Amino acid sequence: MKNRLRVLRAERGWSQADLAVRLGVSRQTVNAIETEKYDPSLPLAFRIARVFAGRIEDVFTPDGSA
Amino acid sequence: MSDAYASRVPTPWYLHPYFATALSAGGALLSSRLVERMEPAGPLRVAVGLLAVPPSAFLVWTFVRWIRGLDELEHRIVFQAVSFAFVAALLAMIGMEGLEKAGVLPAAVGWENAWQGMVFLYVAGYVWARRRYR
Repeated sequence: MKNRLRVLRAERGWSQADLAVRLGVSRQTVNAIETEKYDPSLPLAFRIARVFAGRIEDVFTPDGSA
Repeated sequence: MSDAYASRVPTPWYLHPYFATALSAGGALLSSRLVERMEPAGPLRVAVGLLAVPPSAFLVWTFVRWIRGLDELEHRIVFQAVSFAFVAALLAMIGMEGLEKAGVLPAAVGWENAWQGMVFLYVAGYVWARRRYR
């Protein structure tokens, strides 16, 4: 699954650690999601979308979609 | 939807499983040394023999507490580490038992020290799983 987490985070000037605190996860988890080594669960995906005041589709897109 | 993960409180060192593991190992060492050197008798021997149980129970409690505080990726890493350790320990035990029966290894390999191998395999599995998501 592709995601725009790094871009959205950079737009707000947050570090990975800042975002991790907002999401209540470890910095390693944020890094693993950003580098697309780990796909978050649906509840965490919803939390990520909420932190960026958007929808899940604004952050995540399935592989192979334009 | 639950916000259970929204607050991550760091574990104080004295409640961390690493410290509890050291306590448990210390209890086991102390117990075996006391039995060897003092040779206690009666109820005292039972008490000395069970010396490692309270710190080991504390280790179990800290481990469960620590596991509950992990996020979903950390859960996955621990699960992979435990799975790796379980399968590797199983293979090692089957191999060693075969070598024992074939007479290649001495009959008394020392299974009482198997927990050290399991801890080593868990740590190896943890390092391997953690690197996958770095």
